[in-house]
Order: sequence, then C-alpha cells, then structure tokens
Amino acid sequence: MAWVLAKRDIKIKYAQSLVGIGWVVLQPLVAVAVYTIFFSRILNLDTAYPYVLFVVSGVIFWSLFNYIFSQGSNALLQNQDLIRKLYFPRVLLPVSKVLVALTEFVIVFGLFVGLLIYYGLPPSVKYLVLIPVFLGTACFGLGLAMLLSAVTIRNRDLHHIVPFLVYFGIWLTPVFYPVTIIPSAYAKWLYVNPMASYIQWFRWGFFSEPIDYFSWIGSLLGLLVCLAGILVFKAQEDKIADSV
Amino acid sequence: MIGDSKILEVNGLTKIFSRTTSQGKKEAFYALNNLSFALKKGQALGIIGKNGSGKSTLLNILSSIIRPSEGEVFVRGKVLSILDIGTGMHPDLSGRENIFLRGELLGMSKQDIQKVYSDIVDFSEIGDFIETPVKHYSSGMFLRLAFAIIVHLKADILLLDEVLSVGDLGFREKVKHALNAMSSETTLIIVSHEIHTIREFVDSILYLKSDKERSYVFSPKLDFPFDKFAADLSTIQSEEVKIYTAHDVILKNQKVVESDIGYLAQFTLEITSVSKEVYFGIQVFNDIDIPILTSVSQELKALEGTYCVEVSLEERLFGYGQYSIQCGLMFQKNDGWTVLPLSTEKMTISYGEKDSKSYPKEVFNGILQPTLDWKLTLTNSS
Repeated sequence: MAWVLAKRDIKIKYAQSLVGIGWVVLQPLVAVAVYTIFFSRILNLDTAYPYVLFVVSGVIFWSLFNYIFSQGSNALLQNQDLIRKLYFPRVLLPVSKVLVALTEFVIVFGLFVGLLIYYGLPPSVKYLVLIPVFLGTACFGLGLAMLLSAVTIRNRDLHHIVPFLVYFGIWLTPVFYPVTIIPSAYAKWLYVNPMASYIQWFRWGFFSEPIDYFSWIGSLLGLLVCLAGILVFKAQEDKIADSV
Repeated sequence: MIGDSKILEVNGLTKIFSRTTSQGKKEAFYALNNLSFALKKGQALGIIGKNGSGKSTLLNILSSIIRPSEGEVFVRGKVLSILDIGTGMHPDLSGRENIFLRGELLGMSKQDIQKVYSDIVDFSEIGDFIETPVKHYSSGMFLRLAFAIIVHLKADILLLDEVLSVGDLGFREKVKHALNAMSSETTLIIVSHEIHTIREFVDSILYLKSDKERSYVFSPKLDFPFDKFAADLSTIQSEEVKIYTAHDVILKNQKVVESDIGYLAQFTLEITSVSKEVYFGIQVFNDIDIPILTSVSQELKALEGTYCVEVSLEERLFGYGQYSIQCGLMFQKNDGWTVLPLSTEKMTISYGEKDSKSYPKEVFNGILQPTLDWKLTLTNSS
C-alpha cells in the first residue's frame, strides 16, 4: 500500500513532463554547480579532496532529508480526500514519501558513484557506512515529519514553519562548507544536529575525514526523534479522520 | 462473537461529536445512538434517512475511517467502501493508470486487476481514450470509468454511498445489472436518497430518524412501513421545502409521494388576498427540460385561506426515464392574467422502474406510454 501511494506520487510528478525522471538528476546537479562555482572558485574553500565530491555528498543527503521532511509533514494535509474516503493505516502516507525519496536517491547516488570512478577513488569496506547513514537520515526526516504532521492536522500554524526549518537547517549543516572553517571550540556542537552527524559519518567512510565523538550524540538524537514521531503519530492516528 | 451465518454485526453503536453551539459553548452531539443490527451473507441493506440522520457517519464507521465512541462492529471478510466515486484517481494520469491506481488503493492486487482489466475497459465504453489523461475526459466518461472499476471489485461487503444516481440512464441500467450480478456473492449496503434505487436492490431497510433520540427502524423490505413514513420519505425527494412568497400567494409545502397508482403531487398554499379566478397548474418536464405535459385545475374558489392541492400522475403514463415537476398559479387581477411559477426547485420522479414487463425498453421508448385499451383476440387456433 505504501508502495502504491509512492508510485502514485512518482507518476503524478513526472506525468506530462518531457524531461521526466531527468529532473531528479537536474535539481541536485544545479545545486552542486552553484555551490562549486561560488564556494570553491570564488571563496576558495579548502577541502582535502575535490570540492565537487565534498559538496555532492552533502547535497545528496540534505535533499534526501529535505524531501522526506517537507513532503512527509505535508502528506496528511495533501491527501485529505483519501483519509476521508478510504481506510488504510495513516502512517503509510508519510512512509510512502520515504519510498519516493529512496527511488530518487538511488538515481542520484548512481551519479555520485560515477564521480568516484572519475576521480579514481579506491573502493573501501568503509563505504558500507552508506547504509546506516541512509537509514539514519530517513528515520530522522520521517520522525520529524510524523511529529509535525500529527500536530498540523489540528493546528495548521506549524505547517508554515517547515520551509523555515529547511532553510535555516542547511546553514547549520556542513553541506557546502567544511567543518574546518568553524573554530574548533564550536565545531563539535555542530554535531548535535543529527544531519551534520550523518553527513560527516558519510564523509568519514568515503573520504576519511576526521570525525568528532560528538557525532554519536547527533546520530542517537536523530533516532530518538524518530521514536518520538512514531509514538506521537500512533497516539493521534485514530482521531485524524475526525479532524481533517 | 459474530454468529456463523452473520457477515456483519453492529452492537450498540454510538458516535458522539462535539459541536460548538451558537453561544460558543461546546456540547456533545449524538450522530448515532445505540444502534444495533446484523446482516447475513448475501443480504442487501438500504440505509435511508434525511440529511444529518447519521447515514454517512454509520458508513464511515463501517469502513473503519472513523472510530465509534461506544459499541462494536464485527465483520467477517473483506469490506470495500465506495464513499466517493473517484477518490484517489488523478487527472494527470491516463485511464489505464487510474484503473490500476484506484484498484490498488482499494486493496486489489495487480494480478487481480490485470484479470478484469479488459472487462473494465469494455464496461466503461471508453475505448481508445484509455491511454489519454483523464483530465481530458468528459465528466460522463470519467464517471463511467470510475463505475466500471467499482463493479469489478471483489469484496464480501460493499458499501456504496449515494453513488448510484449519476450517469445517463442507459449507463445506470448497466450499473444496476452489474450490481445485481454481484449481489449473489457480495453483501451490499447502499445509502441513497432515491427510494426507487433502494427498493430495487435491497431486501432490508435501515431507516435512521433524525429525532433527538436517534431512533431507527431495521426491518426486512417487505415489512417496512413505507406508507407510514411516506411523508418523511417524500421529503427525501424534495430535500428542502421552498417557501415562495409573492403576489399574495405563499407556497408553504410541496412534495411528491408514491401512491398506489403512481405518484401523488401535493402542494399546500396560502392565499392572502382575494382574486377573481385562480387556477392551479402543473407541468412535467423530461430529462432535457422540455415540457411534455401540462394540466390545469378547475377554478379555485379563491377565498383567503390555506389550500391543499393534490394531483395524481398514473403509473403507466410516461416512458422509462426521469421527469421533473413544476407547479404554478394563474389568476386574474386588476389588469389581466398573472402567471406565477410557485417553485424554483423542480422535483424529480422516475418512471418505468416498477414495470415488471421484460420487453426491450430502449426500443419501445415513446414519450407517452399510457395503458391504452388493447383487445387481443384469437381468431384462428391451429
């Protein structure tokens, strides 16, 4: 059922568009191009390995989180007609967004692998970090989405803060700037942000960037948010149809 | 626990909503109160009642969309509820994609849909348009497609909410045939404002009253006192009483009641100022709004007061179809005749559905179909 909803989303998204699934690639590509030109060429930010690889690894996971969080928190409001007219476990609505995000992630990650080969990085067993990092990002995004959507169904105010959170969140996450530009006394606090932790774990696995032990806190926090999201959503689930 | 032959059992169902009163206080509102009934396999139930009597709340609970405040529902088998014709279908997707999407949303597997896919396409009469996005369909085509999916679903219990009264007559016939065919394996629960539809399909009636106690009547169709509730049921047809006031005449009430011989149109009107000659008229329109019958009453002795006007339309008067009725007054006043249509809202009646003869009604489709005086004489027997 979650897959049916996800397929519906994907088909609707690309129906009657010429480039179709190509948009999945184009969006992060443009972001990467802008960041590369601006930060690498103009501001001369230093990374120990090609800046393109650095920024692509950040953008991939930030887009993944962004999609799951913004779409997932909107899923109940977006599908009010289904909720009123059809019975299925409501949790599938945000969960289906994870599946949509997964399909797009696979495509974009394929490009990333292409870049790895182009720059001739040797395969390593540390690459397996991809799996926990993906799951962590998805759980954190979904947890936040469930927390928010359980509340927004009654009170629409919180619905409007989602774009703000995403907008400010990217500045609190080392997506396009390296952690090293932050004074080391503050740098470890950055890791309290679960997204910063996950992205840095990924860079640790693929590019052997050093990582602070504080990143364990952020990683765990992400999972706690997910757990809280599930509990709050479950408690609200029965009342959802009454309030849409 | 649910008994062996029962497929659905509802025990002491109560649903309380909180509503805000005009004084701004919150108070409990009973949409359903202690409702109990049970259905056996293969039965068909019609749920009737005025707007706000709790029909939709009941269907929502039966389809698990909302939870009851008290009471329980036991179900054996798969429940499918069609509370809206095209929920989940998307205008940007093609007919084919929508068939699969809608079917899967309603819990069918891809293989099951594949099996009935060509039947659905045939039934919908969409033909080559099946690969076109449904936003380019006419509204009729969209409804036909949506219905074609519904009647090809497999379920033990099928809930239908007010979805039978759409589409043109020919297609409605088709839907009815398909539903009749389904009813041997599927327990149907139908909510409809159309008493005709209900009477045709169901064998039991659940009548939800909109009184304060939320009382109800549950009985086999044959025992259901349609006459007793005739006044109530007829207002189901003309949903609201339009009160029209102009030129010293007030229409207080209008309704069409089913009677033994066909239909009985009843009007209550009040004349507040005396006029010379007053006639009452009625017009019947066909489905494309062409007046096909006009009848004018004898002169009303127009004294001030309240009048009850009744006119009956025989059962075998028109051909098969939907007709609407409008009434009016004609009277002479100072400078000549005034013709006053009394209602803006027309009332609908259907003809021919009670006709038990099985000849092809599409062929013998004259506008008028009265019972003429036929003589069938055998002159030469072999």
